[in-house]
Amino acid sequence: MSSTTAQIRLVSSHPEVYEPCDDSFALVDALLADRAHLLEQHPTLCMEVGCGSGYVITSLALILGKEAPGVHYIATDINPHAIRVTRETLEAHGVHAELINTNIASGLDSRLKGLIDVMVVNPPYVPTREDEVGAEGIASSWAGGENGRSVIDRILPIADNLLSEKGWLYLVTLTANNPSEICLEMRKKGYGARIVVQRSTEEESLHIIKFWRDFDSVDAKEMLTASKSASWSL
Amino acid sequence: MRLITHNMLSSNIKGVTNGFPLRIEAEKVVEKPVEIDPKFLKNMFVKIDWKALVDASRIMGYADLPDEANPSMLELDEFLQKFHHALLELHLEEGALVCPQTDRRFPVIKGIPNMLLHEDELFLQRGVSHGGGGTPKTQSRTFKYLDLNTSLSCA
Ligand SMILES: C[S@@+](CC[C@H](N)C(=O)[O-])C[C@H]1O[C@@H](n2cnc3c(N)ncnc32)[C@H](O)[C@@H]1O
Repeated sequence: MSSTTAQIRLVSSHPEVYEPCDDSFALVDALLADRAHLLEQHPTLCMEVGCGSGYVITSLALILGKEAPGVHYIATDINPHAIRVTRETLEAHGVHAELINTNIASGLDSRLKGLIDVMVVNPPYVPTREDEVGAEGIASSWAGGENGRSVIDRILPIADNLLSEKGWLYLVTLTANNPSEICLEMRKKGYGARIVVQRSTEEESLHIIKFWRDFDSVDAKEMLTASKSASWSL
Repeated sequence: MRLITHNMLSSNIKGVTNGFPLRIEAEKVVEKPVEIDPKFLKNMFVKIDWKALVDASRIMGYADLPDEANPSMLELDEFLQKFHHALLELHLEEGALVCPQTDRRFPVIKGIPNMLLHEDELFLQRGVSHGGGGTPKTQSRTFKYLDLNTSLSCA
């Protein structure tokens, strides 16, 4: 399977568009690792928020490929250059996603409510000063404000609104983002969480967390608290 | 932009209550054939606002969709083919999506709708209508970062 991702060529780039990096690779690895589950889930609508170069959404379309008929892909980015690069990446690999230049999912929230089966997000997560978030240039692709949580915290309720009953969210986080707290926040909204990929580089320790709506575990909150120290001792 | 996307988009200007469907101004429409996928069409049918799709496809120059549709029609190949064509093969390449309540134009350039708002649109409006001032291109550049900054500071 790893050959699928190896084939992703970056045919296009732009100085203001985030180039695929360790975080992008870790997210795609998580999707690859979960491929069998993704196929079994039979998604109809898959969406990426903040598609950047298009590396992740193109990989997802190739990973699911012909074995998953009936899937439609949607991707958004706030940066118009990113959307253009994503279109070229998709085209070069013969796959399609509908692209929208918007802030997270603004404009889609009412009609797409409860319809997204798979959402993938590699957000700007690097802790920075708040005024760097969304500032001019490439910085807005990684600048995440206090604890790197500014954009993440705006995405989570939107993801909750858009996800279908069987919907899953794959989110890239950094240890500095306090992933266990993110999981607790999502738990309050009724989601279970699992780390699909964990990866440490010299500079950062990344977790790709998968969230799903957890209808039948009433005790899950306690479970999570109990397991918290174990699973997050890094 | 395919019409399925048009069917999923609403005007995101704060205070707008009837933001769907966006009116289409079509300057350039292209047809890109794709393989029909009956499973996808059957899953999507219930989620599609049929009238919005019929009206949009007519503006895009395709008048073959019936005014009314019901799930039993999904068994007919001829209907599926038309639904497929309207939903997935007609692309708005150049033009705009217009907010039905305020007439604000969201430009569509090279097939990509730009839903980024400009600062005063993030807050409640007092019945002001937004003319589509400025060319779409300068609009998207000018408001790109404003939009992010503003929405963050009010988050
Ligand atoms: C870390 S990059 C990830 C890019 C790509 N998905 C990848 O994994 O390589 C984050 C992306 O999110 C976009 N972004 C930042 N804030 C956003 C917002 N409010 N709405 C939509 N996209 C946003 C940036 O423009 C950037 O392309």
